Amino acid sequence: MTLLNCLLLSFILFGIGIFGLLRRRHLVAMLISIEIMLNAANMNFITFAYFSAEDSSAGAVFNLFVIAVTACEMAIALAIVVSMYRRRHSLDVNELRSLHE
Amino acid sequence: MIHFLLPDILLLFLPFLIVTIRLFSPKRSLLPWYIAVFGLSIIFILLNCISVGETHLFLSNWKVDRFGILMREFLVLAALMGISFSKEYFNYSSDFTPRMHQLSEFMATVIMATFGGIVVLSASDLLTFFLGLELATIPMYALTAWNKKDSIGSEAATKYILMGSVATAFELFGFSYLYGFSGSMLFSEIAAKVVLNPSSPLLWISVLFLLSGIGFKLTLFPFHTWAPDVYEGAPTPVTAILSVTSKAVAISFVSILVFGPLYGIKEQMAPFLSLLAGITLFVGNLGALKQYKLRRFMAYSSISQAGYLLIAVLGPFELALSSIVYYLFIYAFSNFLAFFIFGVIERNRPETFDSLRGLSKESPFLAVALAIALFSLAGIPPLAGFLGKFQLFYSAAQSHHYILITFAILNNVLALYYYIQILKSAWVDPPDSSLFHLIVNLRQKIWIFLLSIAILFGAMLPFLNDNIFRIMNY
Amino acid sequence: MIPLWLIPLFPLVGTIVLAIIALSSSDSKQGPAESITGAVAVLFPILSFLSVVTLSVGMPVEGIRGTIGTWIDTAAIQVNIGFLFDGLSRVMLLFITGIGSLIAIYSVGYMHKDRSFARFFAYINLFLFSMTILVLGDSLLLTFLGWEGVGLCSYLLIGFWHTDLKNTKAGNKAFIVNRVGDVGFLLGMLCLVSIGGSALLSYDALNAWLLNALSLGSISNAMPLLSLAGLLFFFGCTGKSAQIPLLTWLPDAMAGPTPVSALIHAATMVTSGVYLLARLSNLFVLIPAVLNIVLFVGLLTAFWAAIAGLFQNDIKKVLAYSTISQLGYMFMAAGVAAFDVSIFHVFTHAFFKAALFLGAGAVIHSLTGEQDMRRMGGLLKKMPLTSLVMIFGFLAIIGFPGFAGFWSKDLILERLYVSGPMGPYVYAIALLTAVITAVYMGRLIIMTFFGKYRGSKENEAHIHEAPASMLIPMLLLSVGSAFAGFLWAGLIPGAEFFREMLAPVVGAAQSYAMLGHTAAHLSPWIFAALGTLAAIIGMLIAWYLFMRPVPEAKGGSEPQGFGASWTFAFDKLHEYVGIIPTKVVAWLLDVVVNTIIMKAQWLTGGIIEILGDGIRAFQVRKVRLQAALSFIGMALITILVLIYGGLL
Repeated sequence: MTLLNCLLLSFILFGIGIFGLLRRRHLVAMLISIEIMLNAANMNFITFAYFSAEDSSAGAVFNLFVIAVTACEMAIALAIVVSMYRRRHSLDVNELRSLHE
Repeated sequence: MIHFLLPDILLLFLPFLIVTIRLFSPKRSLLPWYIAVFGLSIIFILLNCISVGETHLFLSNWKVDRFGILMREFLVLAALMGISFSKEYFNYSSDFTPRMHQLSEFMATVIMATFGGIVVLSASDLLTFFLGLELATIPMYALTAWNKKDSIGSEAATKYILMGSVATAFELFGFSYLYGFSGSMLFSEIAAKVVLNPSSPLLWISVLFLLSGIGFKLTLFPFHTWAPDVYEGAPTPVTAILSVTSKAVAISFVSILVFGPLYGIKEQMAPFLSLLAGITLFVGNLGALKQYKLRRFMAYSSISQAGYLLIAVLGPFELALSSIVYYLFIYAFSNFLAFFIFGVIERNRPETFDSLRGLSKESPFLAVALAIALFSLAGIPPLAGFLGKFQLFYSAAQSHHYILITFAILNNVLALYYYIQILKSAWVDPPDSSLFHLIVNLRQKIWIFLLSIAILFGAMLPFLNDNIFRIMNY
Repeated sequence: MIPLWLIPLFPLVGTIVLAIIALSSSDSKQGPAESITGAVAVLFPILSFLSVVTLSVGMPVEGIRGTIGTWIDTAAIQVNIGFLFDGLSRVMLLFITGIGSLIAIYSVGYMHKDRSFARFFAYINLFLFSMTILVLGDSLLLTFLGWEGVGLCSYLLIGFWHTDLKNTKAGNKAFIVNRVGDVGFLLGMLCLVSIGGSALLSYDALNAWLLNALSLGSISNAMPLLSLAGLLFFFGCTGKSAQIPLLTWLPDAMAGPTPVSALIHAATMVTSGVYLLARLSNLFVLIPAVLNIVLFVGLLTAFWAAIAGLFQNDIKKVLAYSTISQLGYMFMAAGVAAFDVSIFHVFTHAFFKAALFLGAGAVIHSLTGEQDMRRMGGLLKKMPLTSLVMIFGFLAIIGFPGFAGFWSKDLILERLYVSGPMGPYVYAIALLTAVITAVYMGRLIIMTFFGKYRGSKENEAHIHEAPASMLIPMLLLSVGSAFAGFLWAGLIPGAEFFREMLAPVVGAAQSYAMLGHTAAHLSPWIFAALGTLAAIIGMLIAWYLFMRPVPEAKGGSEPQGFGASWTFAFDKLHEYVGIIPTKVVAWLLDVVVNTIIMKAQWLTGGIIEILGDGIRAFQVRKVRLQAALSFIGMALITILVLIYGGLL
């Protein structure tokens, strides 16, 4: 387990997140993809904290905050998803096209 | 002299106070509204009383510097204008704009977002920086979806939160590499490392992710695609707040980053920044050219304004920051003035250019104010907008970005064309008798008048401009 | 002591009141009540005149100065609004406000039943305001303000009856030609500013600076710029005072109402050029070369205009050319550094020329607008008082002994002989001009008042003496043209009141200019005798030539044949020098440059339109596509960074 391996892993996770975001049409699935991207970043923090940083506690603390913030963000996102579902009875993002010029 | 933390603390407690009072007051009471307006005004006055000489520090990483104080004043003022503008939308509904509910919570959320902006300005380490940015952004998602019954609004909110979260992910990824590169969260240590090792791949990957992330928030090309949809779908007051507060927070984020931790590679970053700025304002202007819906038009207009703002970042430290603050003030005045007028229009008319027909006959007051707002946004000489743009260009000229400036000025001609198209609807096109009569209430009149005066005299009187420059070059 | 700013304030208040009257009655068919309007219109000039008189009585020798406040306060220029009331401005103000009041009274009768009665008097009051500012200002900038103001009023009043295209064209011509001269004034001020900063725009500071530089000997460094400034100021004066080369507008300016011609285009505004020369006398005596130019320009103008006056059939045109000619005399006097004499001629000329114009106005008024002298004649018996006024003015202008013009013209001729370069020759031409003056003025009097009436029958029926409101000012002015000259009667020892009044202002400059000259050994009586002889010879020639039946008038009153080519020589010159080149440049800009720019505009506009359509099509609605585009953009930026950073 080296620094590079860990970075590669988080990078791949990030890529998976992007891929999922572009590939999936279901709103909740897209939100999960975003969650994966955020966790890839968290992974990075842990990696750097463990391997190279002078101030290793900072990276670990950052993680906790990010998790909290992400939870807030997801709460709001899910609230919006719920209200979407109530309006349209569908969570297919491809149907989100009523906004156009 | 007052303690530098007092306004921040007051601002932090204001939303809770509003919501608490709302709990214990009768249903249609206006008390929370008065508390919000009064509180924001008090905070604005207190901010003007802070001594600007030195950089204040609290617990070694809550920093209040000159730029921070000026931007605090701006954000509080923008919040004040924002909630004043929003008030109408809680009073009535029409065929075109559903009535909004929960004014107190709305105001609390707006003030929370403002406080998020202040956290960004006070940050001296990555963690605070990140938290501030999130605190400024997450309330915006909620505000966009405020109208639960409006499916267009929810759609806009969905798009906004999807793109915004992606942006957060990018920023976070960028932060993680920056942390990995420097091994520290503190701006000062990062800056030292950047100077030591300016061409490290880790650093540049981080810059890349950070630029992309902030590109989303600042609606830079090619990350601007969400903006027109969200601006159009969100409730109108939220669009106004989004285009002013959120943009101001984003540009302060960029300038703090560029003049803080990344100052060592500012010269190397300049080509990318200028490229982004140039393309963004070009795309914004071209996009606005063919719009006929008022708010979609304003979205493109604000995209191009973001490009102009980014130009100033290229200049030297004090000039860049003071010209950004000055331009933001002018931009907020003009933008809110335009939105106030659009608010009057869309009360009983569809929000397209055609609704403006015959405005000069029906209400010369509104037509003149609209002309002032749009000419100021376009940067026509006697108005404040011109001076603001001039300062931005002057700042960039200090770093010899002449090609970019020439390009921006040429773009200004383009911008003039589409701003005049709106004015053409208001002044030249024959009235349309099928439109409903406009209703303007006293608060709207007062604000429209005040903002017009501010734009007219912001340029003529050296007060605002001089003050900002004096503070920045203390 | 009353404050100085009262003098311009009264006409200004009058302007405002009259403008309100004119505007508020603009919708009514009748127009405002003439009695009230007329009373207001006359009251304020008279008040202004009374304050001038009050101030004049107790004026100390060095004058009165008063500053109201700061006008312009920038890093480059600081100017105060300050007034200077000294010997020179006192004389000018006395006759400006005095004659202005008289002509205002006269106009009440003349403009009777005109629809724009109030508008006319608003302009007249505005003119008096500007003129008092011009004369009273203590700096060139304030004078320039008045200078532009009187130009504006002149334009407004020439084109007063604006429904006639001819009148508006004449107004435009006056305005444009004056603007050409004003460029000279402006550039002159610029020269002074570049010599010694904006402080030199103040007259006092300029005089002090010149004196200081002269005593230190440092003046020679500034000499080229000073000469240029003098030349430019003189160019400005030629515009306002209708001298060669900018004189073509004045005859056309006769299109305005006759009181306007009397007030603005004879007595006051056109003399502001002479005033400026006298005001800047300290500057001009230092640059004798420019003074010589002034002298010869004046001489040429006087001679040319006198000849042109011979060919005119329009009674007002004759008077216009005689005005140009008399202004030439004033410039000649200034050209030999006899500034006090030139101002004295301004003073006397104001009386007799105003009297002549008002008399002509009365004649035109009673003939219901007829201005062609060939359709007049024999009016002596029908309008005896008007004839008397005109004959007094005639005797004054030709320099008949005792009358006002005699004294001032005599002094000018004497100074020309004594102190001018090539004195005797200049004197000879000026004397010849005096003879011609007598001839064309005699022609005017003879054709108008003697012989038989030659006009239309319906006009003859109601030829009448003018009403009292017109007659009284005329009579007062004719008294002035008879006796004003005794203020400085050169032949009578001790009658030098006028010279003493001006001595504190121009005395030093004149004695500096006379330093090299030796006094003439000729007795003043010889000059007086020669001048009288010239007047009498001219009268006799006129009598011999024109006391015969006049050929019947055919066509317009424009001169024909040689007379036309002589009269319009300078119009032709302007055509070739100014108008045609401007038109060529305008054509080039309009047709050639404009076409290119238009094409370029269309091209750019087309490209922008296409791009705009492209961006519009680029607006994607699907959020996944939006995200995808952003990622592609980011990938592109990444590649760019890698290439730029040399990593790829």
